[in-house]
Amino acid sequence: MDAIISMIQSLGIMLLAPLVAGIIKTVKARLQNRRGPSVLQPYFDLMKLLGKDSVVSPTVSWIFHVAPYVYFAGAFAAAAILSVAFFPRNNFGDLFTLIYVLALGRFFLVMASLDGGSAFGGMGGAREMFIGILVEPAMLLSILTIAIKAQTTNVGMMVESVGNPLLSLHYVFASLAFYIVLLTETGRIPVDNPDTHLELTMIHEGMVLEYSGRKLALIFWASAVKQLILIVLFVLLFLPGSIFSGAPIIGIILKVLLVALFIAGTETITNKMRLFNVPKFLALSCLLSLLALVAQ
Amino acid sequence: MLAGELYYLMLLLFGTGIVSVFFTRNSAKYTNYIAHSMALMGCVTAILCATFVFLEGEVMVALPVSLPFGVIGGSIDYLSAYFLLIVGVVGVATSIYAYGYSREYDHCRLPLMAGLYNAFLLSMVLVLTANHVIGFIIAWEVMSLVSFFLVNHEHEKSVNNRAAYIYIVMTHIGTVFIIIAFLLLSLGAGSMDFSQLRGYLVSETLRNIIFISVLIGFGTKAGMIPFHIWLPRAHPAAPSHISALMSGVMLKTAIYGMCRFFLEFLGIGPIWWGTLILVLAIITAVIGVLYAVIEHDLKRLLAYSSVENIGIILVGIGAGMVFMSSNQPILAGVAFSAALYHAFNHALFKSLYFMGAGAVMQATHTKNMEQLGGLIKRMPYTAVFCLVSSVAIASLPPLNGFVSEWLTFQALLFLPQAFLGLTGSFFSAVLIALLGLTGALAAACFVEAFGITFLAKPRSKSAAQAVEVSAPMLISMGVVAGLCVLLGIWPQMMLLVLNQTLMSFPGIDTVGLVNHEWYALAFTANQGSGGISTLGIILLLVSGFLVALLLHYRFGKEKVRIGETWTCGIVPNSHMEYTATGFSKSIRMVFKNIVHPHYETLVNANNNKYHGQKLSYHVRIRYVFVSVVYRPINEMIIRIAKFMKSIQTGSVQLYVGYIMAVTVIILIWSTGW
Amino acid sequence: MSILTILLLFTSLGLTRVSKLKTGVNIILIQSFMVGLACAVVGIEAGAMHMYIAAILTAVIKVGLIPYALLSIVEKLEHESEDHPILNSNSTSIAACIAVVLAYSLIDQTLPGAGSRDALATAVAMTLIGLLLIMTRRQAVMQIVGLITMENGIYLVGLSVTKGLPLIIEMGVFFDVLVAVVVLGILTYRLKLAGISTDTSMLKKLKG
Repeated sequence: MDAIISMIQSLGIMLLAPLVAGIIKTVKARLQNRRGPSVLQPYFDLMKLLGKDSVVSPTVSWIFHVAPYVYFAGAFAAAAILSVAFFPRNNFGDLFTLIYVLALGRFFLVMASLDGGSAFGGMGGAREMFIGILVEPAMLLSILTIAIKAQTTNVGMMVESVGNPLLSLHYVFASLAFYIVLLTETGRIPVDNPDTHLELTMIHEGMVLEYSGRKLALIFWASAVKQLILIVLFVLLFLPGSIFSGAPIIGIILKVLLVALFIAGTETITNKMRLFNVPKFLALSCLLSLLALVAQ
Repeated sequence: MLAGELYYLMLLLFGTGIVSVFFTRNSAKYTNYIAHSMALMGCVTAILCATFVFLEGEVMVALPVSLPFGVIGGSIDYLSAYFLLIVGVVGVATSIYAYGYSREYDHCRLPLMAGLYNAFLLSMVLVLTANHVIGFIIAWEVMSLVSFFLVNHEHEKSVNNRAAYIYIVMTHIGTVFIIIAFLLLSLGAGSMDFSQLRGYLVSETLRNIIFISVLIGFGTKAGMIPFHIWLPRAHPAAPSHISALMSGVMLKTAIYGMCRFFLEFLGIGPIWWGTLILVLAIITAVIGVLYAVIEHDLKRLLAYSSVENIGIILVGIGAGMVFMSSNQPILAGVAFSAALYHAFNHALFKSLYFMGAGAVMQATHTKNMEQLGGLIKRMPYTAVFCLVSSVAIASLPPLNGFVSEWLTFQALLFLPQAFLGLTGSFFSAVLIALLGLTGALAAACFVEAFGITFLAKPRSKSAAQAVEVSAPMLISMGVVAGLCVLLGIWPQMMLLVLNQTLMSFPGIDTVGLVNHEWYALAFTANQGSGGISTLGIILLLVSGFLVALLLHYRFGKEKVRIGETWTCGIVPNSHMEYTATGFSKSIRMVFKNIVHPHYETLVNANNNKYHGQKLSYHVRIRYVFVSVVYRPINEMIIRIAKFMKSIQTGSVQLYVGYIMAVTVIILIWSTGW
Repeated sequence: MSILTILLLFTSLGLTRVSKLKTGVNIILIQSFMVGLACAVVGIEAGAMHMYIAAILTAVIKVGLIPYALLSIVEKLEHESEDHPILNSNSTSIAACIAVVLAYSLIDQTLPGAGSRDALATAVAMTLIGLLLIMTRRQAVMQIVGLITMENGIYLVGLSVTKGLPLIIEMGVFFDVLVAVVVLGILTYRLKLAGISTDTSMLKKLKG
């Protein structure tokens, strides 16, 4: 029974991920006084890409062909781990596994970007690894504010230990810290611009510049899944408090929507920062996490 | 008792390998086959011997020679057997590899190298199985000297001479401290036999002195900061299979020495021991991988990465000692299992990558990454094996690096149970964050290493003409790659072995890790617990892969067009590709306070100034430890020596005068006048 | 025995005043002969066989071979002589007397009331005088002479303390000095062949 529920949940995450991406985009557009695309636009994009031809460079090797699959597999596995984690009494739902499975995907994708042999791919890949290096300690620190107290990294157990707390200072700090990490990992403004495809202003988009057609669809979907996974993690760990005690899933969905709105708002208010200011941004996150640890 | 016979057989095989070189020295082919076959059989025997020790029990072998300071012999207990297993496995791989690789050295003293290779393996085996202080020290010295000669094998290049010189000086500084530690201990215990030294209670200050000496002595050999300066010079200088052995196995003998001291001889100590090791270890890990990322010489990069991994192993050891001191046996078991598991893993994946680097060097005759590229098309198998190794080093699932890294993280997560209160949480959080940083840096480093070396277009002619290497080299690399995958998927096998290894030491309890299904890695300790399931990870990844494939092919066969990589309309050539220096530039900039890069752009304005000038861009790194720690020490020693030089006037009579003066003074003094 | 002791002391003091190389070698010949004689006397007194062997060995090598070799070298060194030593002969003699006094007081301090007090003190004094010679003489041959004096002194100490050291130890000390003398002899010979003076203070120029 548990297994079926968790399968449905992971399927749900996979299927709903483009919707969340669409919501963020549309809300951002409306905030900027534009009409924006419909919230279902990412689905249409995916269908379109799945039907298109692809252009492959002769420089590339089998890594280029394999990387999107590995990236997708990583996102899929992460979604499954996260949904399984709702049942704490097993060994699947470990947080480190989740982070490293996503890192596996990123590893292969960056290598594929180097495979194209262009400067854009190389630069995008280099910057992606650079941001990844900086974000890893920040993410670990913000999660540790909960994990150290719970003395476990099993996601389900951590969620259990968070429980129903009152609004206290260390929660605010920790959630701000993880919010910064969220923005960085999902490649939102102020760190990266997910909408443009200008070579010098994007990190994630620069990395996948050489991809087209179905492989690009896979990458696009996997990025959306990764984004949703991180938002769900944020909601579970840092926005606790059950709204509907009968069906917690509805509470989670509402909170995810709230966070999506918040992200859209943040993207509208701030602008993209210089690449070498990102370390300072993430250092802020680390500092907030450490303060949260102290305030506990 | 089969293990005892196997032990003698192993020594005999290595000895035959050393001696056979004299007889076959005129024929390079026979030297290659015979000497390396002897080494291969010796290593296989080592694996069998270790396996039998695990199955049957500990073994003592005594040589029938009685020397004035006791009977010298060997004893293979579980700890020695574990490390013997490491020697055996890596040795098998490098011996098979050496069949193919030695062809490069046909005209460069191959018999000497083959003989020394056998001697190196023999000395390492002797170090691991010595049970007497003198025996250990002799074997240690032999190991250092043999590896010195091997590092300096291509002594025509002066850079190798310098590297070997620094290596031998540093390793002897380490040996001095090891001897101090051993002598202090045996002085107190009154015996030089290992079995007598176990758990002997010496006074508190003496224990601390022994601890510091052990740390410095074995830390020098292991490559701990700040004694690591020999590592990045010595590993590139040696032939590749020797580098693989040195990096994979010789560093582990130092870890073996540390384990033997901390677990057996010194027993449970105060908590600052473990804390000191933790701090030094995490600094080692971060700095090691930082210097690795900014390198563009492939083997130096691997050497710095070894420094990082030793740091991770030491983190495990430090955490284990902290837990032992605060009476947390289960957690100590987790930490020490993490350390030893990572030692095995590192031996595997680092030797694999060194072998791959050797293959690349044999094919292209360069180890400068800026001149390689596109090798994946010309050397497909080597590329696959190096990819496996890269994924393992970056500690990504489902390979073995992830398992040991996870265990280390868990060990650090439970540190607040040893250091109560805020300091504990803080310390633990900082350590985990830094460990995560090293993991991410290692991933970046190996994306760069693999990507620049193997992918895209070749950057030089030698890379464009590379040819895949011979079968023995590929087979050896394949075996090790397979083991990497196996150890990642089947952690319980290693944990069973580790349980038996660590069971005999007080203060450690690893039983909790073992009693699970074959794919699980879990434990519980005082209201905390953790677990991963490697089967789950594999299943999920594979199913994700299948789903992706499904999506891809669901919509009919894809139409693929060939179109050149977009480079703003020009025909792309290899000069447009990203370079290793460029890849690591952002990291250099962020960490510039540690790395101190110094940039220089030279403009060659001879060309036509309308059509562009030739620029050359130089990056110089200031190696902090060399300039801040070692150079001042060197200069001080030289100043003192210059000052003492004035005693030496060159006059025979004055020297005899010194002797006479001292004699008369001693005579007068001793008679008590 | 005590006569021999006195004579030995005289020879040692005499060595401090020689300036011709041939005289020095001759005195050392006499000294070695007397040491061999002392060894034989002790052997007769103690009745130990190995003392005779040692006495004969001393006679053959230290009275026969070594002085012969040294004399043949000195023949070739026609123009060399100890003209201006570091300490001139008067000062060296005074220093030698101080050495004798020192030796006597040392022996009195360490072994008061010993039977062979004179022999012991002479032996220690001979050792010190030998060192003094090496220190204050420039010529290589004179330094060899000083070395042999030292060896004689040490030998005499062994003789008078224990009435005969074990053969092994005697042989050891013996061969040690033999080798030293051979080496120095060869060195001097080569120096002469190369046309360089055998003045050892010239060696200072070799220092970098």
